[in-house]
Amino acid sequence: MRTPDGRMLGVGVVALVAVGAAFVFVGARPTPADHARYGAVSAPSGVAYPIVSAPSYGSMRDVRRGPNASRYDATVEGLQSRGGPVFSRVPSLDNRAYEGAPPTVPHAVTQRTLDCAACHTTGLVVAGRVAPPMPHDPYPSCTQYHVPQKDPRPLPSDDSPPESSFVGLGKPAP
Amino acid sequence: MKRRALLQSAAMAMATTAAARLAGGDEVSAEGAEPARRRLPLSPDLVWDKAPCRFCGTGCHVEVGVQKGKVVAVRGDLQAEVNKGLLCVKGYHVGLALYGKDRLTQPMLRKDGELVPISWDEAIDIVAQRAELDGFALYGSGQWTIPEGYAGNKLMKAGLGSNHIDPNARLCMASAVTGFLSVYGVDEPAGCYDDLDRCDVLILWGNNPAEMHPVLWSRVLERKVAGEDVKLIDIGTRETRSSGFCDHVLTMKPQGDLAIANGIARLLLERGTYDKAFVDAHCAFRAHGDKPTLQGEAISFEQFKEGLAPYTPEHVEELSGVKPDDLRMLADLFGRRDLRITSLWCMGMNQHTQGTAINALVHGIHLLSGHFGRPGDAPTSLTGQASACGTVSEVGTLAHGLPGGLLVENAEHRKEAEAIWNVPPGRVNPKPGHHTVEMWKRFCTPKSQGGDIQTIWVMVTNPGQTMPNLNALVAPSRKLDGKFLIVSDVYPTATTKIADLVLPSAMWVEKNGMFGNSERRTQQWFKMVEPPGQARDDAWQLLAVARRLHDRGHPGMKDKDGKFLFDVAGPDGKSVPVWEWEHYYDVNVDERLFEEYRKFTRFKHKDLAPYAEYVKARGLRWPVIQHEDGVWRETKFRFVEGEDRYVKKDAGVQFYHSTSKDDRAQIWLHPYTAPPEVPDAEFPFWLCTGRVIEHWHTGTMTRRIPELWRSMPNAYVEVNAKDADRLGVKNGDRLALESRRGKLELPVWIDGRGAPPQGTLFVPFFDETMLVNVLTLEAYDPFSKQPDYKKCAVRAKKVVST
Repeated sequence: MRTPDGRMLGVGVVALVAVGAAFVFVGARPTPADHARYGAVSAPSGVAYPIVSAPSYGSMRDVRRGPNASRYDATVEGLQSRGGPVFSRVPSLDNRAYEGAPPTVPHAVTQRTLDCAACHTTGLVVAGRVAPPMPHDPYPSCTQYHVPQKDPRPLPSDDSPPESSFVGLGKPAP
Repeated sequence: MKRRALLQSAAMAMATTAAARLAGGDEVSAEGAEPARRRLPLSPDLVWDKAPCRFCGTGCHVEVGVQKGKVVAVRGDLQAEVNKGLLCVKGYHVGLALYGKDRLTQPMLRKDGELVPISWDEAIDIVAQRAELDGFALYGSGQWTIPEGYAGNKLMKAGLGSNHIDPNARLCMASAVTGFLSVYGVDEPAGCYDDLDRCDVLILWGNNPAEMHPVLWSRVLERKVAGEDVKLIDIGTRETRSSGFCDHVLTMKPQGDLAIANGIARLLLERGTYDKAFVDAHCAFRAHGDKPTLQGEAISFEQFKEGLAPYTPEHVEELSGVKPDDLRMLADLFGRRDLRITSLWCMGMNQHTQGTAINALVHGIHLLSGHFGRPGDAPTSLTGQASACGTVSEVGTLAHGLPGGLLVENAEHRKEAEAIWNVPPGRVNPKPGHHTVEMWKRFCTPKSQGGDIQTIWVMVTNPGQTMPNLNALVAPSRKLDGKFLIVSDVYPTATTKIADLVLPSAMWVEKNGMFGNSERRTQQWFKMVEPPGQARDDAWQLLAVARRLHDRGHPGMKDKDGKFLFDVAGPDGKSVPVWEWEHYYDVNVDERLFEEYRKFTRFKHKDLAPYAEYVKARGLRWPVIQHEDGVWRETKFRFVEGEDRYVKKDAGVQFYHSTSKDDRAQIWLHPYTAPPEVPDAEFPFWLCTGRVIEHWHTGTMTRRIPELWRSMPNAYVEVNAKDADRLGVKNGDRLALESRRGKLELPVWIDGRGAPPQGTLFVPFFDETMLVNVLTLEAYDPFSKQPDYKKCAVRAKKVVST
């Protein structure tokens, strides 16, 4: 199938990723309490997170041309060497304004056609970096909730970020 | 298509969720269906309370977490019907809007060119003195709370006997209002957001809800994800984030919407697929006579048909660029009774020199095809500001308006207002004041040359950034003697920077408030934290000025019985000096103002419930009627029997404010007319302006939220890739734009957030460091007086750094 900008997408691949979600727990919309539930810094002992066999990413030529091309290339390598991704939730307040806030995105984001589900439906570990699974029902328009962080933002700026005295819930006081 | 695949994948993941829960991955509640949602606070001193979001007109409810006197967290309110627990990225970060480091915390007066701190007492004195002089105007906002707007309106119209009050909503939704008035005789949508849950077809008319009304967009996408067959159609002048999810993307030439709507109507008539029974029973036809008026003149069905004759699919293509097959596709959909069709629009149709016309035309094709009144069948305008409907349209904070949809020109209406305000007959001035563009034009004109506005008090808005053609409508006033600009705001803005007097305001949950959203929903919240420094409520500022005028002997500040116009009695019946800040919260002033305002709402069947009902609810949609069992119930669908209590029995549908006084809505004939400025050899590009998801309007709040700033720090110019090649620019290069009115340099973004067609440039207006409104045109719609920010002509040239 053809996208508006004429690129091709391996639909089956995305669908396979989704099938993989069968064994991953996907909760409801994030709330502070929900987040706390997901939010242990390391996996509690005795809880084995399921490992799902990986789909082939070899055919994801389309997504590989986007701003995350290097990551996708690494994905393929990673998958080939490891045999499959290990699911891990990386709970961190570092990229949230407060407990329960939607995390900001530490990598570039396509601006109009959104590829988030390709990695974040089930989660992936890629070359030592983790693409955590969504801890909530999937919404297709991800950028309505999550915005990129400083470095991968699309436009450079000469200005400095604004100073704020906001101290988010769960954050240390300045 | 990629978007299809994503939706499918999301749907599959959703479908597997239940299995995952049963497999032991999630907590399962006793019933076993939904996971138990733990909503307990994480910390014992953390208190949660409800409020509508501060930003857009969607009207999501948030729960605000307060700890040690500060807002520390926000979450979507599960009890809120609008958003059902979801927020957008602005909503999730709304709490941070209070804590920018440069909040205004003390009144400041310009002395020898510098803003220097003064006391509130001095500041109130200065405002009162200016209000006693001729040419005093109040420039308000769709972000005023309902009680604030009501206090401002009453101060001007009942107190000063002046109608020089107008709001920024004039720049935002005035054409939607005149559209409603010309079609139904009363404003605001008949339908509501529930239509989004029921429609089979959703048409976006120059609308980008994925960025501007994200939670409403989610509401529709969720249905798609769940496998429902909802067809999404985007009609616009550039591809947006919303386009990426749509089944059909129809890119049109600016102003092409007029031709498209007429083309649909013509096809419906030609094929006989219009809803004859609905039209015969509930509609009449209108067009402008020799002298155009908002009500127009009656025409026959034959005249209507004849007027549409030129709009063949081929002619529509010439005017709009939309292919005949696409037009036929739209007409096919409207011609089917088995489908339910909702149209959504916002600034694309409202910021339009033919805004009233295009609003009426879109209502017209819904009426003509009978796609009206059933859940899911609705022409619905969305508003941009949190209380554009509540505080502007309903409270009537307009140069021609009175609360409750009444008009200053109407003697009966003035009489009703004077009775409620208990002021002597004749107090309300029958002559409408200056609408926004006129007000600022006259503020920029010397008194000796007819510039009859000398002082403008700006509240909760930023005209130094939002007025069109800033070089003509704002800047000149700063060089004229005798012109005095007062600004109440929360942060330094493009307007406070040029003000003579700056008053620091409390914002959002630093005060009590009420908003009215796009679907007629009135919402209430309580003060949760203290404002910083000496920042104070806007309503207090208005009452304090009124009292100062009273104490200085202004006769208008007393009612017929000699009482202060804003007298507020305490529980013991004695007047509370609410004009003194330390006593302002001794009583709930919001409640008192609202209960008085509520008396106005019955005239046009916009009935509001008592204040206490809103405290209990996550908003209620008017008319809110007390039923026989004593319960106050809202109205989802107006003019429809069984839903709207004002519709008489067996009427089915009744347009009870019909301008033709026969319960009929008007289907208008509005021919296509060209825009006032089109690209030519000298200025070859169209310029469109608009918004981005990260920033709310002029960015004064959102550009102080680090998460949002980092994602979108500055404005840019979107350029089509082919145009970029021709101009010799690549991403990040600077392009100098020039219109007949001004010049501006911007960084280039190709194939970025949106994708304009060749010949079109797009610039967002949020960035005070790159004021795109130095370029825009102040030409406005003849009825709504709303300017067109969506189309003017510019030229572009690469900036070569030396």
